Amino acid sequence: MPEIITREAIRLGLQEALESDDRVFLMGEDIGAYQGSYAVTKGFLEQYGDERVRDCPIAESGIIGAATGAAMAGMRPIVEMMTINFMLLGIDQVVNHAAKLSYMSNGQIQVPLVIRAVTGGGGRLAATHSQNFEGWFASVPGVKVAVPSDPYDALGLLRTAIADPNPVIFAEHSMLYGRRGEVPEEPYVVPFGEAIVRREGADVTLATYGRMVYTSLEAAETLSTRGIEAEVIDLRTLNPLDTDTVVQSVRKTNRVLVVEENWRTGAFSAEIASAVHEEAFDDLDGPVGRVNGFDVPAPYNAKLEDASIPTAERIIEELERLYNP
Amino acid sequence: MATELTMPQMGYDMKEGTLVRWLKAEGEEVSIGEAVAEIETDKAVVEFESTEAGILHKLLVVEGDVVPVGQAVALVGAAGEEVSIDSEVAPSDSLPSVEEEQEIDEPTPAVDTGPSDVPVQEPPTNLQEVRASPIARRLAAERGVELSQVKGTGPGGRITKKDVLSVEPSQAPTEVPVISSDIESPAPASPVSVADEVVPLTRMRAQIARVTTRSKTEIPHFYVTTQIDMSDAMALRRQINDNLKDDGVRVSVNDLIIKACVNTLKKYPKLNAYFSEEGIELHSAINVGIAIAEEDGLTMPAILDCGSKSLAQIAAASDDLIQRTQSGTLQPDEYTGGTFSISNMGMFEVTSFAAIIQPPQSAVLAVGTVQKIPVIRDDQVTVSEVMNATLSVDHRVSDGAEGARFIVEVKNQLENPLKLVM
Repeated sequence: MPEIITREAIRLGLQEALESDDRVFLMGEDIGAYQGSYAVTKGFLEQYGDERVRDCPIAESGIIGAATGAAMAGMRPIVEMMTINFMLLGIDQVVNHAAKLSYMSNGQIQVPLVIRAVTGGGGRLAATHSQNFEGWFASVPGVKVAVPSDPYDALGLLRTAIADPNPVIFAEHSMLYGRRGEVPEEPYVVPFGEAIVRREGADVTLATYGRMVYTSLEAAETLSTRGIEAEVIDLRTLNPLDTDTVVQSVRKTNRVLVVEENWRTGAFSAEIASAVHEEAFDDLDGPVGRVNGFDVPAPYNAKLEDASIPTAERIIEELERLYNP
Repeated sequence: MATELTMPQMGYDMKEGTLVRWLKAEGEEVSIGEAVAEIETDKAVVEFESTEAGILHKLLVVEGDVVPVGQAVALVGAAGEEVSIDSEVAPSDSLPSVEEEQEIDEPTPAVDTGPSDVPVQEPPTNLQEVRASPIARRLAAERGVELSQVKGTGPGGRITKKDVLSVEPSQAPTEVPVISSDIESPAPASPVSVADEVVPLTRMRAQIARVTTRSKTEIPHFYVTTQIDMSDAMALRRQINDNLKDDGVRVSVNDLIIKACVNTLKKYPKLNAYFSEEGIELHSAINVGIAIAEEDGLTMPAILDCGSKSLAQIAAASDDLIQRTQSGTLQPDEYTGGTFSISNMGMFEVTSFAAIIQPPQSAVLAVGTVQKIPVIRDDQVTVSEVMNATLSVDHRVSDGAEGARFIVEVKNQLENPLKLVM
């Protein structure tokens, strides 16, 4: 199996869609002539032409609105949001239009729209370019949210997203584009709503997604040297959310922390924690813990930024505080 | 001086009985063998006969009390005798009083095995709430661990799953049979499956559980099976029942099997014996227990002294025993006196099965349905009425060869049924 990086996996998914389906086209800022802020669409303009690789003005509401209209009319638009931070300008198009049209037309209208959005902090991009809003969109009925953490899932989930008749937010963490992994040449998909156990362990469950999968795995390795085996679960999609896999794991480990990069207050980790409390209360050996980013605007200072994002040390400290395992 | 009437042992495994009803009042005169009370054992309500003659001075228990075997229930003495209860009813040394038993059942305090630097919670008092995690509470309830006796090592002294599991071994029920002391106790399964409903054990279920577990734990069973051609026996039975109907004789298939076993047991007395550490206790009396299904379980009362009974007498005694089992008026001897047993599932269309030996007996015969099947006789295929029988034997008492000879003799008896009426 060839090893490629996540950026390459997403490129493969987009090329495959562009080549196999005439209805597929790309919209976004700097995706053509500039070749993509994260170089995902490098060479695409030359290869597929400006009809299918459409550079757009800095007008997120307009881009998402136009793409929604195209999807309603039978096209399969794939939008790139340079960062999920800019999506706030298009949030009305997502929540009030793309997410609602199928429901309000009694299914007469479908919106097969994919919005690729670059999410996450850690890139020294300061307070307005380092946020994680995928959890916000995951709370909206009618929108699906995928959060791949490696090349295999990036390609497999992108295939599922493009094939889905509903709007999908495809949140790509900026710090994971260079992550390497095996991707098979033969066709496969990663279905939505199926979490995966990244590391098995009997003593504590770490439920997480995106970049925090690696922070959790790092914590698990440290815990292992102390005789505590952590089970790390990568959720892979936030909506639909696979709570069953988490609950099954908790029935075994009796301890659980939800690890998420986003701010703590109102974070999606609280949704997961609540579900675990409801479904696995009698199996818990303590309260469901949450390890989130601190409730501060992302600092520009590198040390402060790193300190604002969950670390392996914080995961271990929280485990000790809540469970004293 | 007044004498105690004590709770009798009315079953092999009886540990206590309920005094259901007094039949005599204080001050009444009783004679030896006269019923003074009704006692409910695990299996039935039986009359409790006085072992003394005199005046029933004092009833020591009230109706409904559960009384351990051997404990005094009443005092009998001469007329006008002064009875001092304190001196008379002090429990004897050999028998634990009810109070002592309760003390034994009380959970022992958890041994502190944790490291000394672990934050220690003050021992909870009645006023202080026990802090325990949900799974710790659940496990404690399932394992009968008293949370107030467990020291919590979790944050803030919370009792965790680990804490409950660490005291679990000392709380293990003492009645669980231990096969070998060097077998490690199994690790507690996790996650523990939770029952949707718990049906409380009736006395009979509890008794069956005790006896069968004890049998399968203590008695090394082996099994011998054979096929018995019942054609002639069935023909004989029809003949007897047709001809002797007016005499009130009605012989069942089971009666034929009982009689065949009785005749065989006379030749092989080791299967009519109890195993004990001192030796194999042979019995001259042949008391054949028969398994009788009841609503929620079964009883295995014995037809006493089958050795001297004819087939017709066995048939009558068997009918009588079944009726008295249903009415709950069996005598203690009939519960405890069995020396060999038969379990017959013929009515259920069962081809064959193996039965569990009823301690302290040494063998049990399990018989299935009599059914017509093609068999080869004189190199010809013909239809016969055939029954399978499986003998379970205590290997401490006997061996395979004797078991085989025994069951072949039973087969021989039933295939030549005139032996049953001679």
